[in-house]
Amino acid sequence: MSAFKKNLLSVLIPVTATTLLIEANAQSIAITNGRIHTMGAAGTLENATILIEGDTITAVGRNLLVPEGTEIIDADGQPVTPGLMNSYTQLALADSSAPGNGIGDQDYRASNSQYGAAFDIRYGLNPRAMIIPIVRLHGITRAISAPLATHDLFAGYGAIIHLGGTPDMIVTSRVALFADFGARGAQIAGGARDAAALKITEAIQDALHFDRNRSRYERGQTRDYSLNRMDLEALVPAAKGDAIINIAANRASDMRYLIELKEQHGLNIVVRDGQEAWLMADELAAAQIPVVLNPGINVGMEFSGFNATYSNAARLHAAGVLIAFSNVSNPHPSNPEIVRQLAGLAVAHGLPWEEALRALTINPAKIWGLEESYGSLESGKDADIVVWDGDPLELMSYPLAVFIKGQRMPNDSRQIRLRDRYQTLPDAGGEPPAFH
Amino acid sequence: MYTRTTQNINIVSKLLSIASLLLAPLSIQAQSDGQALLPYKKDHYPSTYKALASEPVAITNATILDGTGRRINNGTLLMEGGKITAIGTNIQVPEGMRIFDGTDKWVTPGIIDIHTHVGVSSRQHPSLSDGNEMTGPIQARLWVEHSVWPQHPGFARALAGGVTTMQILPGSGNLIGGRSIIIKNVPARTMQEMKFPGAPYGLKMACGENPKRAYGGMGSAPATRMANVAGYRQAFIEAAEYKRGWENYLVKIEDGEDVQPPTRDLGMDTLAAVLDDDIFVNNHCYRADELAVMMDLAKEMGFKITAFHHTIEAYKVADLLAENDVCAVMWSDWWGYKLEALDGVLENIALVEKAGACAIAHSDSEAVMQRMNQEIAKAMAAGNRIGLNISRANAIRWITSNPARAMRINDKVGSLEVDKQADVVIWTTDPFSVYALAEHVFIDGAHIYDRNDPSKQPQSDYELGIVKRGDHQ
Repeated sequence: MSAFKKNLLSVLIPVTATTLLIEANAQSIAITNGRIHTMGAAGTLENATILIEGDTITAVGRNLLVPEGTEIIDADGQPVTPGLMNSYTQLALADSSAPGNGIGDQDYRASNSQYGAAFDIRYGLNPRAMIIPIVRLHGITRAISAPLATHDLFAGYGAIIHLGGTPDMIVTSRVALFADFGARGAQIAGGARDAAALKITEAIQDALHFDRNRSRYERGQTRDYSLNRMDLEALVPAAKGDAIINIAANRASDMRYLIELKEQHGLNIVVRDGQEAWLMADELAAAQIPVVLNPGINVGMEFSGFNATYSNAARLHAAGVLIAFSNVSNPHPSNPEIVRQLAGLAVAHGLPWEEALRALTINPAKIWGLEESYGSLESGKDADIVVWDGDPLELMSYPLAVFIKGQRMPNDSRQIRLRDRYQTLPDAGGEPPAFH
Repeated sequence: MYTRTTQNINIVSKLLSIASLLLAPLSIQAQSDGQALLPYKKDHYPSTYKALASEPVAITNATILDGTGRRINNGTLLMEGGKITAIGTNIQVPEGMRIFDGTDKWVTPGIIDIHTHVGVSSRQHPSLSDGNEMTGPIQARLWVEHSVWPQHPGFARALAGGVTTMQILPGSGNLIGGRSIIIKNVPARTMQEMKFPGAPYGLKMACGENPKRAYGGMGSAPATRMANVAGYRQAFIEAAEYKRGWENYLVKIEDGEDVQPPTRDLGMDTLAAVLDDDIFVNNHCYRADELAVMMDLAKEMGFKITAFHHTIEAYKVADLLAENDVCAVMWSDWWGYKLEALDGVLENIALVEKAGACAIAHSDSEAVMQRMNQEIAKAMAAGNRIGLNISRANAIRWITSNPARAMRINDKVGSLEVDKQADVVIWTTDPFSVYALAEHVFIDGAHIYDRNDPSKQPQSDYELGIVKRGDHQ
């Protein structure tokens, strides 16, 4: 065992509380001797130090003076990265890895609701969801948590959350309006893509008209709208280009539609899924439309994804498209924590290593408007930091320490407690695991 | 051989082996005239698999994980005539062999995925959804091979991930889902051109939530786990009776009586063969308590469960699995998508291995199937983080020799040993790295996939003319 590991283990937070919630305990911490992938202008720094004060990074660099009384964590030359971000999940909207069959509360969809765009997941978010500690121990500290479209093309607004498990988990409320186009959007709209396109156009026109005629609307003097009042209100910022619309679509021709939609209405569009986006990479780059994708998809068994490829990420990046990663639309409904493995897969298929790490950190910060506070290890940003025991994109690497807003996350989760309980099985007549 | 040896068994019991009637290779059939009386003694859908043309190949200077638990550094592997002819160090390469320089590369047996639905199910095309006959909970009569669509692009994708053999299973909506098929992962026009010669059939059974959700939701049985168990028991009680009926018939025939054969029942044929242990049982089953019930149920009914699948809670009863010699087929880190999958732990596979039970990794997914090597890397690393000290050479068994043993084809594939079928993968680097890719794949010695040569990358009819060859990578 290396000195580093000893050091880290010796500072592991003992788990004494009976729940997995963490109490805030602001303090000064220095992570020293790290190979720091800042993801900022400083690039990668060897043998460097990060100073943390409370929830914020106060300095990053080589030969920093560590103030007295600072808790020191020696990274022993290992990689240090920003906490990673999964750019599309339903995290904390259900206890486990929704979607799927789903268990318990499922606050990411409301198929019997009358609302679409107005839907906002904020009150469904549960900081005590059992999945949160499990995911963050894989180095994921931030996520988009979003609603799923069921009966309406517009699923509603999602949020950026941090995975600290505290009630202040919402980092950015109403970060984007989530919607579907492509095969699924067509299905929701009545069967064809053009039905979906009409609905989107009508919704945008209605929202803008409503916004210009609010007092007449209140007096009942406007024409009929296709949407209810709450949905109209919610669509206004998206229709004006002030709020991001994150639209799922896979077929190359869908990308052309989304580019036109952006040009015609001045919308702020981010593509989600985009299995064939690489076929329109130059056009997407020119239109400055980012793509959130799962790099692990290469079987597009729907006709819309015929040209799904593992090199989607590499080809989009090469063309200049801003990309971010999620585990969305995996044929195997998977868990949010595997996004790190999927980034590694993108590297295996041609994406530069540094770019894969960007797609999990600074790129989502840029796409989702979080660059001020997250995405790189730079002074003034939130202290979301992971110290790794090896290449952060490798399968066998694992975090040695995870910080979220300056708080060291305990090495504890329901998974870990189950494992510990059953690691040694009882002999006949031995103490049942329930007492462990 | 998967069929039991008949050499020392008297003629009557030889006749009585329903399973050999169903499955017997021709050599056994020829031993008994009595079997000619039975309408189903032949495999009516026999394998027409033929190994593709191969040349003698030598892989040199490679790091070899042979699938038996051995690692050979700077190793050489020779194959000729579809078989492995030598493996080890200091091996002289005969003249005329095509040499693959394995410097910095790794070599493993072809990967075996014991649990797939490739070719019988598709998320998006309902018209290709042919794996889950949820029209009645006991579907022993079904043979999944009658659904297999060889043009499914998932086969070629899996090949690019190093998968050379797979078991295709019916879905899990039924208590008894039907027969599986084991195939060699070669491009083919018909299911039979893929069918693994000499491999046995498996049976799919399912515990827990899926059957009770499928039927309980419609107000019919089973709606509870206890009704699930009653369903299996009833089916096997009937199967035992059916088997006795045929046994009595054959005895009477032997005695020269003029009797009519019993009425044939396709489902009972299969379950009778299970009772004779000639069809092995794959039991989708998650929860520890259900695993224990099913092991006792098998004892009660007189059959053997070879492998539990999706065994999220195997680590809780790894000792019982070892004691009963039942394999656990697991994922590395998928969990939580339903209540019976809630207790997944990253160390599951490693803890089963540590308990001395038979640990197997599977995909059940077109995506995961393409990176089975990555799944075992994650599982091994999780085990090693808690000090289980599992080597790559041992972990590779979870996707090679262990599934081969469960599928009763370990005399043919699953390890790199002399005289075994030359199903081999050359990896660009350590296959426990996320950056590793299968570079060359051999099936029965034939060079069937080459990452650097699109003309050596099979493409299904489905994608022809739409997707550029090689573009899915």
